Amino acid sequence: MDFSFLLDPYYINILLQGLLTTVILAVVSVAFGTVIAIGVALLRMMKSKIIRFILGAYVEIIRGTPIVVQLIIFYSLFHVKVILVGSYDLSPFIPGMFTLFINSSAYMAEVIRAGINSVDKGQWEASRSLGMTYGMTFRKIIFPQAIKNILPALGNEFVTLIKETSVLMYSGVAELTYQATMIKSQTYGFMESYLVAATFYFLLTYPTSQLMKRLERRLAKSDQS
Amino acid sequence: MTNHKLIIDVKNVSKVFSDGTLALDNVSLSVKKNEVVVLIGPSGSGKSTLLRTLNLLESPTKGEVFFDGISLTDETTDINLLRQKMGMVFQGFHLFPHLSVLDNLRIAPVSLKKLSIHEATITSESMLKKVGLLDKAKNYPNQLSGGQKQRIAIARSLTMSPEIMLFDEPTSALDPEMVGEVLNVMRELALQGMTMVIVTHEMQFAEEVADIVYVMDKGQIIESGSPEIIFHQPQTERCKEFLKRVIEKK
Amino acid sequence: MKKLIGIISIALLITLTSFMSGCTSSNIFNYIVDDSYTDYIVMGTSADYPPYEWPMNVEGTQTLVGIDIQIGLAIAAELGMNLQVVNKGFDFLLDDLSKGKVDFVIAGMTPTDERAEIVDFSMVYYEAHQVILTTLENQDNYASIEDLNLNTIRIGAQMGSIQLDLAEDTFPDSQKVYLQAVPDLIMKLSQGLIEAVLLEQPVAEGYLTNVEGLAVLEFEIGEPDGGSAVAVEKGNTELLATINAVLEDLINSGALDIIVSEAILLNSGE
Repeated sequence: MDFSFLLDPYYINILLQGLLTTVILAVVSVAFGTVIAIGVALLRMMKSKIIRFILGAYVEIIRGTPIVVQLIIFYSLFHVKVILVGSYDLSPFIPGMFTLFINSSAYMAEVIRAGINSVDKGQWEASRSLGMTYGMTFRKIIFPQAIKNILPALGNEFVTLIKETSVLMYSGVAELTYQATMIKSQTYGFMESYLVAATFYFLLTYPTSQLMKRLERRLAKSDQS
Repeated sequence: MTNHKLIIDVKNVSKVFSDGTLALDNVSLSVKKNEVVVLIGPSGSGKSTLLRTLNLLESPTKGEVFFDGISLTDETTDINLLRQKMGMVFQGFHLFPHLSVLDNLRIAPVSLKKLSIHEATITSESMLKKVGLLDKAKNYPNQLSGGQKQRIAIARSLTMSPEIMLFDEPTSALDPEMVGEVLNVMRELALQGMTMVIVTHEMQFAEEVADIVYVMDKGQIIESGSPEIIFHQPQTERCKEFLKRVIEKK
Repeated sequence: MKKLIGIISIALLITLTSFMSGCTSSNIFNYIVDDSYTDYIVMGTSADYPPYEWPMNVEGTQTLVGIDIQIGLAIAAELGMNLQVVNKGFDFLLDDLSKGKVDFVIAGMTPTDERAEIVDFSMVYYEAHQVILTTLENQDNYASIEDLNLNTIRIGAQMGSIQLDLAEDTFPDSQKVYLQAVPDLIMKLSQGLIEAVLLEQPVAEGYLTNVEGLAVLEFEIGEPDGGSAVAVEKGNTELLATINAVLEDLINSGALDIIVSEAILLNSGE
């Protein structure tokens, strides 16, 4: 196998550009996805059965269908002309990002819901017995404890999202896998380009998951009683 | 008309759980100011369920519960406001693990705007002194023993200056050597005239502090009376049976 | 909550600045046809298909080259505009055309009846022959269609392509392997995971010169119909007329032949 293309700054440049795009996609998607997810989780706690049903269905459907299919559907739904920011075309970026937001938010909504439910019911009872309202109890007692359970899962979602951004490659978002494909077309080194891309992904995901493991350990320690 | 000295008035309360179990069967009792009421009975007799209807942690399926003459089950009642006047201590302590001991005590009065932070700190510290744990103010719950946690839990409820304190088997989850320190605090409270409703298995303690004892079995009150009568001259067969078993255990 | 908003704002800021500074990679390629031209006409393609279109390092920048790019430039010149080429997956291009996101698509695309329902096609500018690419070792084993039409043989073709239909019709008994990208098919061929790949002739020639151990079988398959055409949004008759005029000119003047051979040569220079 011929990895000599790695010595060529032209190819390294292309790969790094793709890498940057991937990181940006992942970070922004997790950030927005989490915000949407918190909104969904809070709304699901409301009394209205209709709202709960709709949101529940949303979460189940998004989690239950392949992200590629979601991308194709959202891509055809969005009517966006070529938008240039600098030399970058935002038009495939928008349906692509939307897909990632929606996808990430559905998984995160489940994680948040599970995190909230995992807080001992006794905490609710003790707080309400003191006279604190539902809202106060949730904000000051339950949610701070739920976060300890949610944060590790958030990290996992980030790692997953880093990899899932590759699904955008065919829709015209120039992220890492797209660039690997472009390199492969130029060097005819099929295996090499993808092996390098895989390595780059690993270089992103491994430190992140290690960080998350450490975070998990620290949070678990503070729970010892 | 409800008797003004009646803090708690339970009228014909029944409770059926969603799985069909009949936890309370037409139960009535009342608690007067400064009274110490103790509920005893075998497991599953409904005593905890009855206690929990007093601050509406459980909703009665039938019947009514009155606190200071106000109906708890009435939809227009602001239950949060009423709960501020009641304190509850749980078998599992349920201290807030992410807050320091001092914050555990302060959070309710400050959040509910009953006291300023300054006032809340003074009150909290005085309550901590009362239960003998002022030196633990800056600690976190996970650094405390079971007995200490329960005493903190009691102090936490006291910072809201409740009119009545409810205890749900407060010592059942404690190692034997720590039971005493918690009972001492409760004894003190009773001596100072706090109105209390206690669910417990500690028969000696019950006999000592109770003004009235209610014996429950299978969701019903099978006998009630002064501790002298209940513990030494029980009137009903079921009550006699229960006490025999309890005394044999000891 | 405030922390969350802060993080998001920073994330957005980094995103925008990266785009503006050109640090991130792009799937848009701009070609200045003439310095005096101000507007761009937008062409869609799928730069994965030499010698029709593929990426190359031109003076340190990633650029798209190939037969279709040259034709695109000729069309832009005729219209007095510069050319902007958008690169994405084949399937997404037709959707783009129907939405008006691109003005025309040139991607070595064969005009089929199904596609003609969604878009309008120009005249065929290049008619290719379908050939079978195999390995040097296997070359002598397959002398005819019958030799390949066995269920022990695995035939490869690109998904959504003419070759796929051809494979279904010509080799009903063989196993089929259909993939999105031609290079992936070639990889499997080299690895011995498939025995043959159906390709258009110039594409196969490209791989012959660049990848070792391959060979083209002597017999042709299918009818040499189909060819490649330019696609425009349905109803865009004006642009179509211009495109057809440009194509006719290129063919009649012999310029297209030169474009094709130059592209194949450029591809072999890799």
